[in-house]
Amino acid sequence: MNKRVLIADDEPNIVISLEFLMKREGHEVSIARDGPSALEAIRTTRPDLVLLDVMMPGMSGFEVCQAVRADEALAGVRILMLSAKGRDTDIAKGSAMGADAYMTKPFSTKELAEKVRELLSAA
Amino acid sequence: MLSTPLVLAASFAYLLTLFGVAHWADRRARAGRSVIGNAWVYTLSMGVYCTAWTYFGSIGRAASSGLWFLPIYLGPTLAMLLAGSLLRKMIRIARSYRITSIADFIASRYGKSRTLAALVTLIALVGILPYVALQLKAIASGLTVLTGTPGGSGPWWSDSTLYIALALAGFTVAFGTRHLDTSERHEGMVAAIAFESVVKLLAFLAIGIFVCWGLFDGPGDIFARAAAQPALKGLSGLGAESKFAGGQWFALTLLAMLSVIFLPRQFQVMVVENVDERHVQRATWAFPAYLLLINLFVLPIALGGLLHFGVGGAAPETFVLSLPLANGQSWLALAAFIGGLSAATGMVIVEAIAVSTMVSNDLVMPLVLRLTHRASTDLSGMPLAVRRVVIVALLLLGYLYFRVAGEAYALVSIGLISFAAVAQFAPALLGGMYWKGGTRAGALAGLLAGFALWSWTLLLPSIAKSGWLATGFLTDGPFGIALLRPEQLLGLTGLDSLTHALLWSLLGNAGLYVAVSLARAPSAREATQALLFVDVFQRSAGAPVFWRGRARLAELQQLATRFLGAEPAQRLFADYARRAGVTDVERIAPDAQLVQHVETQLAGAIGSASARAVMASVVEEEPLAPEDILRMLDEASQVRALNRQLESLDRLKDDFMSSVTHELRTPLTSIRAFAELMRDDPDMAGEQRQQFLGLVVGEAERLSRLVNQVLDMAKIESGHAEWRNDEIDLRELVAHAVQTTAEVFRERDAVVSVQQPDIVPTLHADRDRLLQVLLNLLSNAAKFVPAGSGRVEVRLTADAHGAQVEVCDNGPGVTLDQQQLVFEKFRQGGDAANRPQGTGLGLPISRQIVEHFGGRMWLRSEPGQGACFGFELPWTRQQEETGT
Amino acid sequence: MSERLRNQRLLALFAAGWGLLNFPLLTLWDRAGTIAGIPLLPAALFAGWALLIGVAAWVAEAPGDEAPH
Repeated sequence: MNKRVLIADDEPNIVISLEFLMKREGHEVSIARDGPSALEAIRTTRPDLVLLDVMMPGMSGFEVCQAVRADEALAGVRILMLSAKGRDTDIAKGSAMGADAYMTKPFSTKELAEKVRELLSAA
Repeated sequence: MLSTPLVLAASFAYLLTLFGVAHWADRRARAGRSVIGNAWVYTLSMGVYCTAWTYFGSIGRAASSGLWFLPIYLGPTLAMLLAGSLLRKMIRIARSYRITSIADFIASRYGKSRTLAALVTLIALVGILPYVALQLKAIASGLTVLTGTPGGSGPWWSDSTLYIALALAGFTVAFGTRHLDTSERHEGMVAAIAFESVVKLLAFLAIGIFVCWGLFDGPGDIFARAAAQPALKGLSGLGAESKFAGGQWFALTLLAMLSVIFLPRQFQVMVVENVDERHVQRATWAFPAYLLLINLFVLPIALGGLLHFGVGGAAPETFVLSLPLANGQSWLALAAFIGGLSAATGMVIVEAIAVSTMVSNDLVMPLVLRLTHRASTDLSGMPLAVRRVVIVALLLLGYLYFRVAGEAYALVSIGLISFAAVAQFAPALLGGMYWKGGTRAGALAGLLAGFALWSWTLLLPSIAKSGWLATGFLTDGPFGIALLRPEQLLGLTGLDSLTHALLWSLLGNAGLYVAVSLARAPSAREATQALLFVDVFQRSAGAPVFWRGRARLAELQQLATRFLGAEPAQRLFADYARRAGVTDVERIAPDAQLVQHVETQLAGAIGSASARAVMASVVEEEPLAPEDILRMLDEASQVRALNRQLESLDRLKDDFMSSVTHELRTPLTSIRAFAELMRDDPDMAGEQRQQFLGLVVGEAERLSRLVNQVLDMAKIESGHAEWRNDEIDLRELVAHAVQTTAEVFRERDAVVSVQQPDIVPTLHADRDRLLQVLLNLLSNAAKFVPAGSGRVEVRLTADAHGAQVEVCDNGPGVTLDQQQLVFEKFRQGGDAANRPQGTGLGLPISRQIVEHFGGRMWLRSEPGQGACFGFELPWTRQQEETGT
Repeated sequence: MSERLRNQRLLALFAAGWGLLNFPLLTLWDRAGTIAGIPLLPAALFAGWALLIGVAAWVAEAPGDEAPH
């Protein structure tokens, strides 16, 4: 299974760990470090899955998600939101924005990997 | 026919029995085994509502208009249903504020106004006098029927009614004015009244049974025979021909409903004499039951009498006497007379006591006080003496009224006129209990209007109809103005005089009360009293103190002695001392609490209005501004305001909490992820592993730094931080800080220069904390200074006010909108990729530290021109926090 | 029952009493007829009165919550 995964997060160390994890799963990884460049990267590279952090400079993860879902052409892109905030209201907001899944930080690498597999197989 | 001596002897024997009952009850009360602490006695005492009017008047009314006597008793039944809330509230208010009469109640509510008290007393007096006369007239008529000798006529010294009146006066004086009880309770009197209620009920029932089954074959027989006679047929129905009949029935019911509360005698037994609030529960239904029983046989007796004597054969009002007499039942007739006497005496006794209390407290004592300015005269005997005089005067005046005017006007009407007079208390009193907006001016206006209208539409016409005034103004209106005719005011015709009068007087009364009250906001005094009255159930037992003055103990003692008597005054202070835990009476602190207590006790003797006036002359009171009182008492709104503040603080705390948790979770995420990755991949390359472990360690350090700073921040903000203050040499401190950060600057190839005066005064502050601030500023500068060409300047200056330190760098600077945010928690300049390891808490903490020492922190910057962070510390701190 | 409930019930009874013992409804009984020999109106009036008292007794005497005053 060789899919394209975009990692959008502004914390360098988290990016490193996610990159390692996704590469271990055998996916092609690209990186964005803030909201606008994440949206740009999604439009140009059309990844199969985006690991989207909520707290990013420029544009929040929610806004990026909303923009992607508003775009018909990007309907095939799966979005998994990551955030340190785990309240029910935030999770609900995430799904309302159109995210396919929501995970709270700190996450379990096992669970994340499984969720990624799930989302990518459904595509 | 019975002989006069027999009847008189029986009457006096009865009065003596009454005396005995009262005496026994008083003795039991003194021994601590009160007989009146009983819900049944309380209920029976309310039976004083049924006077000779019930005995004679009801039957007279039934004989002429059938069931129209009933609303007088239906009204109280309905009123008692509200007793649970209304009566209880009145009792609670009266108990809490030592109110002893209806005048006191109203006056107290509206700021302890003496004018109001006097007005209410006057209205009560004028209203009650005819009613007293009515009782005497009833006794006189009864005597006439029983003995055949006309009572109530002939020279006054041979008129037995006069002697009965005097006997009543003596009895009342003996049991109502034995001593001055600050609660105005008269146990003996209540017991006697309850006894009387039983006697009159039994007597009436006996007559009823006699008439129904002794003279006829049961009530059915009476009604059947009555139905057969066209003249009597209508009496079993309502006879409602007039289109206003419904209104009249309603008005009568309403009138009775108000009277059962506002008649002075009713107020006395229901409110003042009440010993236990819980008794009200029983009375709610038991008193109406009493009323039902005593009215059961009224219609049968009336019809029976009419059938027996024929219409117009004998005066219906005395059927209870004439029927047994005419059928040889002399003893029954005597019993009936005693029953009637009982009813009359009950009313007279209680009414006299109630009215004399009011006259003493609210008319006479204020006058006396105004005339005797000197504080020396002993007035302790005065209240009692005044009361006694008033009681005797009341009865004699009643007798006079009876002799002069009683014959001409029917009994029935007099009673209802009195009812209408006391009904005028309703708006002011009820409004005062439930509406905080009622003011003294409003109550005065309402009462005056009501009284004036009552006099015009009811009292004057009745005097005219008795032949004492020309009746011209009745038919043509005063000075010929037809619109102002007393019984058809403003052209309203068709109503009977009572309904008409009630309508106008209550309308005018209530209307003016509300209108004038709303015209001006309540004064401080009125607002306090309003709160105390309306919210009496929400307040604790002790009334709040609103004296803010002091008095001299000796003066207070003197005052108490002057009005209460030497011994009661001594007891009063001894009790107070004991309760306050003070060994010696002389050591009692004459504070506001004591002043309030003494005032309350005085109120029992001379009325609250006079007590207040008297106390005011002795206490140096700091006048309380309306704001003060409202602030003191309006806790509710204060609590609400504090609640709102708390909510916004809560929200701030939540924001902080979510920021903190977010910041803490971020490094944790990396630590966990790397650890798991390493665990799940045992074959991971060594180099990779080393890198990851390094990152883990770094994040762990970041995490602990963050935790420490959060704790630091929390401690400083909550005031729990420890400060160790020293004499600090600022030059040395700056040098130390620069040296500590030298390595960081060297790594970035930045140059640090220091500008400082040669001599700087020492500063008294916490050295470590100030160092923390300097290091924070320097490390921030190091983060943002451009690599290779970084220049940082540290400027230390000192002037008369304090010391200033500025750290300026030649970094990118801070934009204007960022400048607002720079000191906020968790805000970091630049973006994360280039952001050096920071927590975002450094600057906020630094600012807190600087502000703790009374200084301030600032940022001067323009984008592209570097940034200057600075702070100033004054030599003398305004606030000193030492250690703990 | 709580004090408030008791007072509310009594208030309702009060309103009912005013309605029943006053004219529009009262005149309904003002017609020919007897009950046990007693004409309709007086009988109904006293019976209604007694009923009111009875219900009031029941409401007033029911044991209340032992709530401190």
